Amino acid sequence: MSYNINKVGSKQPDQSSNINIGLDDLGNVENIGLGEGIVYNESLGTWGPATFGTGIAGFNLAIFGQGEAANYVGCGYATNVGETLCFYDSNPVNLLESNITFNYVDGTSWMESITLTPGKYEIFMQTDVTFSGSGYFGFILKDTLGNSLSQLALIGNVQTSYGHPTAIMTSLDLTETTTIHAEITNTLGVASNTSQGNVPSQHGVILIRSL
Amino acid sequence: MTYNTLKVNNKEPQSGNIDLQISDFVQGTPEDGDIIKKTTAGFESFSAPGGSGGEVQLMTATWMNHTTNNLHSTYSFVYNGTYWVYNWPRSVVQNYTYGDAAYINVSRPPSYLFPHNTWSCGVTLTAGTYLITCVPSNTSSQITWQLYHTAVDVLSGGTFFGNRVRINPGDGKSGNMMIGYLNIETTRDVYPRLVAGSGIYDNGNTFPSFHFNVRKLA
Repeated sequence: MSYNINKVGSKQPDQSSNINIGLDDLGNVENIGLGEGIVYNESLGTWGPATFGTGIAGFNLAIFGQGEAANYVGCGYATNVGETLCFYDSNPVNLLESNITFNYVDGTSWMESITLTPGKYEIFMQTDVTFSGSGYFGFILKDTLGNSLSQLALIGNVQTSYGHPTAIMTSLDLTETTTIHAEITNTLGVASNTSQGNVPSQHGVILIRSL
Repeated sequence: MTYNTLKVNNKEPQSGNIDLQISDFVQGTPEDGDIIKKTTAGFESFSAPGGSGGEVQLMTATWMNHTTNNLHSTYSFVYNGTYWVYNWPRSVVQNYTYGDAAYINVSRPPSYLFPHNTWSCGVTLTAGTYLITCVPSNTSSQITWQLYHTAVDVLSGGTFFGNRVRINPGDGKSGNMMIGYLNIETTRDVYPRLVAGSGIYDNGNTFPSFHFNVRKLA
């Protein structure tokens, strides 16, 4: 007389008639390594291994400008139309160091441009300046060829006469390594760089996210 | 003659059937948004981290009051170098939690700043890495704002993190979003602080808007 021995996932019962099976003993689950997660592969109809990042590495962001005090005259740029608008940070957040490079004015923590590797980015940028009187201050994001990469941001008390936003928010889809910078586009009643003081360094901030 | 009843993962059949579920294979109690990983202990659930091309929002707490024009303060609110903690109605708090992130506890308010016990001035955050954005609001005169964190309490100052913003209702605006990246190993009270200004900021005025958002990255 013989009996069929029931098996599950090709495993036979132990002495207590129990069969211990794991997720990767199931028929449509591939071998899963230590530390790996499980994701569904629609084309194969199976569940396979996947590596998930840990900590903050997956958040793909960089922040430049965290409120430090530094006199704007240190960047060496004037506050006239056509000049580069600089940002200050002695210890920026950059979780994308392989994609984002901050380019500094030599020997300072003033940043004059950003080099981005090919890819998609979302950029937020804002600042403030010292005014010598009633006026406005406009800036825009450009590449090294002078192409505009964003809308124009305009701040200042005459800003209310126009409909511009006070910050830049733009998305870039770059097919080649590109260096970008903020350029001053409009000024009225803006103090010279020697009279700017700490306002640009303490107020200027750039948030970049890789998409 | 008796036969042993076949079991799978120590579950016995009911009406001849053994009903297996994912939880029969995974240790621990998963929370919303968890993923499954293989460990030396078997399969366990973990909070989902950011993927290579996307983002997982683990925790967000937002205060918004953009339309209701709630009263901000019943008395004059004047910056004088030490009196720099702002408050806003907590009755409009929106809390969203994702993954296994800890719930954000609204900071204990200093009583004399809080004529109303549903008003708040910040959040208490446990150890971790956070991205905080804040768009403040004031209805008269000029205020410069900055994010601060402190291990003691909000009236003990603390350390700034992130950029300043200036809100001047009378003569237009500068960019007005504070962005702070905060990596803390112990619990901190985090709040937007008035760091400069002059005049009376609110004197029973309405409170047009305020946004305070906390995202836990790790």
